[in-house]
Amino acid sequence: MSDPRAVSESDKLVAPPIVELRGIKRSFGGLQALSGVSMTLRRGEIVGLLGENGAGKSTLVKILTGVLEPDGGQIVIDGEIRRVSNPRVARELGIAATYQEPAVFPDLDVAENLFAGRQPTRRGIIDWGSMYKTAEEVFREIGVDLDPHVPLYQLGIADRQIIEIAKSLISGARVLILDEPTSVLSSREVDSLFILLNSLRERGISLVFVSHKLDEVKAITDRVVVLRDGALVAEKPTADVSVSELVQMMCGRAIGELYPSLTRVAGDTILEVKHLTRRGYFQDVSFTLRRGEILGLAGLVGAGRTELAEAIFGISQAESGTMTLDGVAYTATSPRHAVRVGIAYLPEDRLSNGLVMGMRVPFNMTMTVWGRIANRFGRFRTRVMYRQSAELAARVQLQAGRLNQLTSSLSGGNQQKVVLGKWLATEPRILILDEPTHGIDVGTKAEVLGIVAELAATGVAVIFISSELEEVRAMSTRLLVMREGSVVAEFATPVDAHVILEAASGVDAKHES
Amino acid sequence: MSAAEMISDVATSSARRSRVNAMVRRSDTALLGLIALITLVAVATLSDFRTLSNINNLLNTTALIAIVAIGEAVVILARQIDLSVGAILGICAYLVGEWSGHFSGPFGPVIGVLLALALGAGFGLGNALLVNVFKMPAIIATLATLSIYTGLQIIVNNGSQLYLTQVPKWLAGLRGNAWFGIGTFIWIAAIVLVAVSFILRRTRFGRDVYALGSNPEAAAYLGVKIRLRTFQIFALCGALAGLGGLLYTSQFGNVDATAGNGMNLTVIAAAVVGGVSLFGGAGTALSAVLGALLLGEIQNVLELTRISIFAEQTLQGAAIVIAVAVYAVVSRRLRRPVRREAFLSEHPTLNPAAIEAAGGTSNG
Repeated sequence: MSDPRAVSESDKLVAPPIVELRGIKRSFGGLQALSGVSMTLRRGEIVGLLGENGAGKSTLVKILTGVLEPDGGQIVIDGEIRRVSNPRVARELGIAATYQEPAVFPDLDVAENLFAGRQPTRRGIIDWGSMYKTAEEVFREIGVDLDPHVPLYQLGIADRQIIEIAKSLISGARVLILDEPTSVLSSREVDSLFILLNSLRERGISLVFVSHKLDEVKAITDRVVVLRDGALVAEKPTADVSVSELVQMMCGRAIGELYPSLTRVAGDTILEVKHLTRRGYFQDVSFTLRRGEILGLAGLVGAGRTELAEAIFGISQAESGTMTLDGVAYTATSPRHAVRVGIAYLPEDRLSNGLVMGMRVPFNMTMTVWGRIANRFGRFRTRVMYRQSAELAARVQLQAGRLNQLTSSLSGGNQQKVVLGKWLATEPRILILDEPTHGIDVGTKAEVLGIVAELAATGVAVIFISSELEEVRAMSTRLLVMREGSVVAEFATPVDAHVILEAASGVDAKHES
Repeated sequence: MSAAEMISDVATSSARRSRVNAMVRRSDTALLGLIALITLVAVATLSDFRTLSNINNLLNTTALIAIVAIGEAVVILARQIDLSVGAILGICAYLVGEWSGHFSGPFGPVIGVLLALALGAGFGLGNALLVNVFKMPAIIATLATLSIYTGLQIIVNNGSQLYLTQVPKWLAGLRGNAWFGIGTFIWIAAIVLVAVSFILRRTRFGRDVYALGSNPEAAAYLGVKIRLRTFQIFALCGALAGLGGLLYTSQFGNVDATAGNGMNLTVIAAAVVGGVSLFGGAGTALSAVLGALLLGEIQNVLELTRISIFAEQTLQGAAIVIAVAVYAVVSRRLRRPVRREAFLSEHPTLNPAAIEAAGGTSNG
C-alpha cells in the first residue's frame, strides 16, 4: 500500500507535469518531517493533500512555496530541476499559496489589497483607475461579484479568501496551494468556493487542496496524495478511493466508524427555552433540552447559533423570552452564574476565548475551579491542582509528553481536549459545544466525539453546534436547524445531509447535485 | 436578459450603491456635520462669534494646529506616535525667528520656510533614529526627545525671549497678510493639506504608510522598506512641526522657553478626533484638519461664553470627551461590518440555483 510506484499506471493518460517532487526530504533537528516524498502536479487538475496533523503537509507546502528548502530530493518544474530557495523564486515560477487567515490590510480597499506592494504607477504616481479596472476585470473573469472599492474590514472571511485567490491570479500564478480553505466557511460558501475552483481548473490552473474534510476532498479533487509520518502513503485518483479508505490511509489504523454510536435515551427536561430573542442575532427561539441527549444545532455560519449559545451562557443577554432550568426560572446574567447552575460552554475560537496559551496545561485545565483549589485563606494548593488536572487529562485522553507543559506547545486537537477537560472540571449538567472539532485531525476528532457521547450517556445534556453537516447529523440524537436567527426545522430521527442543507439555506439543495 | 447581462447589471448597481454608501459612511462627512451644527448654534446664540476678527482668529489658530496635526496624522497612520512635535515646534519657532533676521531681501521668506522645514525634519530624523537603530517604541523614544528638545530650547534661548520686533518684517506680518481676502495661514494650511493628501493617496510612500499602519507584519512580508519609511515619516512630521514653529512666531509675537508646551496632546487629539485611528491604517490628512477645526471651534466658543478661565481647560477636555464619545458611537455604527453570508447571497454568478435559472434549464 505504501509503494508510490504502484499507482502511477493509472495516471498515464494526462499531460506532462508542471511540478514534480522527487524524493523530497526535510528534517527539523532530529525529527524527520519528510522522508523522501514524491508527487506530481499536472496542468488543470486539483490534487488533494491529506494527512493528520504532523504528517508533513505543511512542510511540503512550505517547500513548494520556497519558505523552506529541502535537505534532499529534487523539485522539477516544467521539466527542469529548480532550486526554490525563497518565496520570491516560487512566485516567479508561478507557485502561490493562500492561507487560512490571509495576511491582508483590513483598512485598505479590495483593489489595493489585490495589488498590495505592487500598485500600478504612471510616472511614479499610483494609478488608481487602472487598479480598479484590473480588479473588476479579474473578478468578472473568475465570476465573482465583489466591489473593489469596499474596505476589506467589511468583508467576511470567505470574501477575503476569494481576494487571496484573485491576488495570486493577478501575479500570474499557475499553481495555487489552498491550505485548509474551507475550515472557516459555511457549507454554502464551500459550494461557491468549489464552483470557483472548478472554473480555475478549466482555465488550466493547477490546485493543491489541503484539507481535513474528506467529503470535500472527495467532491472537488481529481487525485489524492496521502501522507503519514512524513512518508507518502498513497497517490491515487480520487474516484478510486472511498472516504473510509482515506481515513484508514491517514490514520494507519482502521476506524470502522468515525462517529461513536449514541445512546438514544432522553431523560427528563432540564432546560426549556421559550421565545428567546436578541434583535439582529436570533428571534423567537424555543426548544427543550433533556438529560442525556445531544441536541444538534445545524445552520450556516452567521445563522445565530453561537449568539444563542452565548445568550444561554450569559455572555450576552437576550432581550425577551424566558428560560427555565429544572422547572425554575433561569436568567442568564453572567457566565459565572451559568457555571454555578451547571452550564459549561466551549467557544468556537479556543485560541482567543478558551485557553491561556502561555500557561501550563494544569493551570488551564483547572482554571474553572481555581476557587475550589485555593484553601480557605486563599492559598493555592498546587498539589491539588496537579492531581485534579491529571484526572481530567485521563478523562479527555490528553496526549501530552508531560502534563506540566506549555499549552501553546500542544497540537490543536490536544488543546481542544484541554478546553473540554477544563469544563468537565465544573461537572456541568449542560454542556454547550461550539464547533468542537474545528481544525483538528481525524483521529483526535473521533476521540473528542467519543468523549462527548460518553458524557451524554452519563446524563449530561449536550448542545452540539457544528457547521459540518455529516458530523452534526451523526452526533445528534435530535437536531435543530437555524436560519437567519430562527429555528426553521427540527428532526428527531437521523435525516439526510441534503435535507438539513435545504432547511439551513432555504434553497432547494437537490438542484446542486 | 442573458445571464451575462444580468450579472453585469447587478454588478454595476451594487458598485454604485456602495459608492454612495461609502460617501455617507465616511467619517469625514459625520464630522463636518458636527462642525456645521456647532457653527450654526454659535452664530445664532453668540453675537461675538460672527465678528470678522473672531472668525479670523479662529481660523488662524486652527490653521496652525492643523498643519502640525497633519504631520502627526501621518505618523499615527503608520501605527507610530510622535510626542515631541510641541518641542520641535517651540525650538524651531525660536531658532527660525532668530536666524531669519539674517536673511532679508526678496528670498527671505523662501529661505525662512525652507529653514523651518529642514530644522523640523532634522529633529524628526532624530526621533526616527531612536526608533530604527535602538528599536525603541516610538512612544518612549519621542517622550525622551520631548524632554531633550525642550531642554535644548531652554539652552539656546538662554532665558531670553524673542519679540516680534526682532524678527524680519515678512515674518511679523505673515499673520495679518491676506491673498484674495484669505489669510496667509489658511493658504499655507491648504497647501499642506493638498500636498500631504496627494502624497498619502498617490505615492508609493503614502500607500506604504497605510500598509504599515494596517498590518505591519504583512507590510514587511510584502517588502515595504520599513526603516526608510520610518525615517521619512518622522522627518515629514518634524518638518510640518517646524513650519508650525514659523507660524507660531508670527502668531504670538514673542517666543520663550514655553513655546509649544501642551501642543503635543492638542495635535494628537485633533488627529484622533478627526478620525485617524490610533491603531493606524485609517484616516486622512483631511481628518486631521477637521479635527483641528472642531477643537479650535470648541475652544473659541468656550472663550466667548466667558466662563471662568479656570474652568475653561476642564470644560474643553469635557467637550472633547463628549465629541469623541458621540462620534465614536456614530462611527462604530457606521463601521460595523455588513453582516452577510459571505459572497454567495449577493453573487448570482456563484449561486447554483441562479445559474440554473439564468441558463433556462430549470425544470421547476
